[in-house]
Amino acid sequence: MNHTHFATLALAFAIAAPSGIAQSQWPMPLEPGDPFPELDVYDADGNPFNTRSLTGTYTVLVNGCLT
Amino acid sequence: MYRDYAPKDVRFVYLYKALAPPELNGYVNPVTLEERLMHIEEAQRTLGSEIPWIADSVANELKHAIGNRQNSEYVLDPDGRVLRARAWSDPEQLRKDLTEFVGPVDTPSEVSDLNMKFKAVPEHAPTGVVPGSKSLERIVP
Repeated sequence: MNHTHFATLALAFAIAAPSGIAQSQWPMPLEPGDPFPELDVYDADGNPFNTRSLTGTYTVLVNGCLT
Repeated sequence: MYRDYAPKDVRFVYLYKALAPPELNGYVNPVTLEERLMHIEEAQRTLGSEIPWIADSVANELKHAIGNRQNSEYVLDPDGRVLRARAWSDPEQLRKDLTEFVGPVDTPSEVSDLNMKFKAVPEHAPTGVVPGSKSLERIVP
């Protein structure tokens, strides 16, 4: 691959990477059967919340933000 | 989905993570937990959703651990194991998943049934110059 092609691909990736469509094609780090990571986060009031408490029932977790 | 499956003992959680894209609509990426909690309050206000939020650590540890996606979606079994890992939330597919794992609902809710109280984001971000703190003026190198 010559430098022009490489630069074109790099530019295309840089433009496309932030989009959800491009991201959806990256491999996911967790696969079915994997344990969900146990980490300390917070509830909406700022109280400690460990993700190991996401057991005992089916859970749907979606991540998001204001933008 | 929440209205249909929360009564069937399915737990729904939103994870609040770093802004992506950053600083759109005048929102500034939080750098403290307090600021992140303020964002959650704003998200609750603008979405009007009853789904509880959790806040990632300021170091974004959970976001990193689950793939750094903007809008990923996970379905976990009662043992906390991943059943579905989706790079982008897909409500239609999620409904199929919950139908498979938990069972169908008699009358699936539509968005129009929910009477969601969407609140518009501020039209204009605050502008101008913030007056300097007087205490800072007393700081000497």
